[in-house]
Amino acid sequence: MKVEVGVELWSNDEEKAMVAAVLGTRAFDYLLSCSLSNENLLIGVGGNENLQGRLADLVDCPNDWGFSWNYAIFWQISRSKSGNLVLGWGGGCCREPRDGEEPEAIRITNSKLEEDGTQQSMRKRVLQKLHTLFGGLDEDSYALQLDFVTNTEMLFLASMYFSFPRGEGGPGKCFASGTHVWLTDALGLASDCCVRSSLMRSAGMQTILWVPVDSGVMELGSVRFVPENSELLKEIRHSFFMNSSVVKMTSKGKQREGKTVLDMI
Amino acid sequence: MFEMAMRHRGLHLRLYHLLSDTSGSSDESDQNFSGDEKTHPLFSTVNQQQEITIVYNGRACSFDLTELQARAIILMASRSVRATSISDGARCFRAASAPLKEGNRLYIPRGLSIKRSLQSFLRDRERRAKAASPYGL
Repeated sequence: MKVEVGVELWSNDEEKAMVAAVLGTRAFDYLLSCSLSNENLLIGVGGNENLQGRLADLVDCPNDWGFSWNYAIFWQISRSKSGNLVLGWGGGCCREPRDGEEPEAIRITNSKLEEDGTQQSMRKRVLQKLHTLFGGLDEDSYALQLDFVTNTEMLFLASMYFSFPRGEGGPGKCFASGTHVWLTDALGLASDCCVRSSLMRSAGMQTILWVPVDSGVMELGSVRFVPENSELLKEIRHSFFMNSSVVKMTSKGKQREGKTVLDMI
Repeated sequence: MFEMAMRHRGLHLRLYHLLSDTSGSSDESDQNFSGDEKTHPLFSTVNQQQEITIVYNGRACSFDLTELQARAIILMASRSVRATSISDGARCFRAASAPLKEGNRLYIPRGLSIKRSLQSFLRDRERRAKAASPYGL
């Protein structure tokens, strides 16, 4: 019955072609394969005080090297239905490239894609489809109300529906190895750093960084060329080593320790 | 039974959402969160942090949550139960997507995490659009 439902959800060929065209074939195939097993992904929460604030800082505030990232995604360790550890969407933040941030040729090419009317209407339909497929409710539907979906936004929003078991995709490989992955040639056509490469290229991302942090993997992207920098890496890691707050069981006579803020919910 | 006890300005409020009840009243409670009429929830503060105890399957957990977060949890839990008793070919949720606690870590459905991110995203987007428009539109 599980397989039948999965097939039914994706059975419309025209729709499948549209999703593949917008996300890229590799991303589409990946989603198809993981959507069934990770349908009821349970995201671990707690231990990430002010996660959204920290993500926003990475994206909005220039660091000591004078730049800020174009997007930040926190992939949180989660549990699939079968109990496997999987990385799932824990939070994120993104912004549009500023004037002069991108190489002009890249900017022009990507603008053409973004401004195409057919592409825009497909993007909204694809986001709506992903929203529904992954359990989103009609009243929370947002895609069709967006006036415009930028390349950066498409990468960001589509990423919400991805999940990565150990060893799979950029985040999953980082999770499995326990070491960071720093890519500076994400724009290259030969580069296939992640299942979402096509979306990353359209968004003009030149540098992608995956860093293992407490309870997950941080993904950062920039339209600039940012050479590998151990000091910067240290700074990013350091900002995630804050004391975890944990949810403690309470029962009669037991003290509840510490302040607990579930800002992941 | 899934219940939430909330301390609000010194009053103890208990909201009962009977998961075993899949009749029409569940739908109403999803929409306006009135729950059981006898409990008279007094939600006048949406974003203020409140201490909340969630009792689920006989286990208790305390958190600081805003009203919005509390609503989201109840909503997701109720839908997970309602959905398992409804088979809808286009949107078939599976069971067990209510909050789950294991050791010191709480697990919530990914949908909640995504939903929260979408809310921030749309808020930021609107704020930036307003800032960019010379007419404040």
